[in-house]
Amino acid sequence: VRPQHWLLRAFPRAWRDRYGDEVADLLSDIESDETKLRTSDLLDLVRAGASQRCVEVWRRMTHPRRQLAARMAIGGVGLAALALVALISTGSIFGPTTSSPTTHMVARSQPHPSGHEIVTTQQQTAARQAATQAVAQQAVAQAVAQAAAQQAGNGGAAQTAATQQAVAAQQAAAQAAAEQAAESAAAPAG
Amino acid sequence: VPEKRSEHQGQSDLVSGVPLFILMSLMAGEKHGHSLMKDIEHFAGVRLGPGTLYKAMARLESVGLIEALDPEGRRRPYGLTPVGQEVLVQSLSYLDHVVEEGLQRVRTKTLKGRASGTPKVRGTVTA
Repeated sequence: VRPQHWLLRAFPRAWRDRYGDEVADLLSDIESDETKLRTSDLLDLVRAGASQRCVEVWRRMTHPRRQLAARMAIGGVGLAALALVALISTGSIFGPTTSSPTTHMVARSQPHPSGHEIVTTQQQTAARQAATQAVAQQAVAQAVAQAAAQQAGNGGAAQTAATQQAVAAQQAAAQAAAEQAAESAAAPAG
Repeated sequence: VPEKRSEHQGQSDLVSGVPLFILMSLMAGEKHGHSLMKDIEHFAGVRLGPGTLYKAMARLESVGLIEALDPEGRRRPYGLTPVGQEVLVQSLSYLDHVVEEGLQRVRTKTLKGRASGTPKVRGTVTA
């Protein structure tokens, strides 16, 4: 059986029994007349065969109720297909998860950060907090130094010496905190 | 137009398209499938596929407009039945009326366009 003759199986069996040999002869005539069969001829065979099969199926539905049920089924499938196309085109399904257009625009304009970017942001926040703490400790140390200077002006020499030692210790602590903050801030850049 | 159309009312079995081409080709004489295909391509400029041709022929045979004749070798020719000839004449007559009405409307439209100086239809239509 040649491939083009095999395509005749697209037609119903009863139709093939009656016209199959004639169509096969026609294919042979076309092939001998035009050297080879066109692809369009082969596709035409498949299309006509499928169409003839549909005709046969429809003929079997002789009862009006069966034909009505078939029409309703075909119409239902068509409506479902239209509804599906409409939902997809409006983005109701298979679309973005956010429904607000503004949120959608913001989400598109600000891409999601990567894992490395998240770690870098956390380090910068920690460095900023350390720097703020160092500035606060320096302010406290200056206030204590001013108070000590006032007490020294009043003649309390022993208390002044102790106070100056406390101020020096607080300034050293503030300086150490500032250095730590600077190191933390420099770490993401590296 | 309504009067002309009423002449063809009730003729739901009029043919057009591929079946009309097949009947027209067989009106000139009996033919088998390949001869039909070449003849239709000659006078209508349409090359029918083998599936389309035999699907239409099967339909025409089932309604009694054409009939299969005795085989000539391995080929089987087909011919028009008397009913097929009648249907062909009525179909061509109906189409002739429709074409004549269409041409008449085109001519009227062309004349109106020329009279108003703003032709809506370009070109010359000849019947």
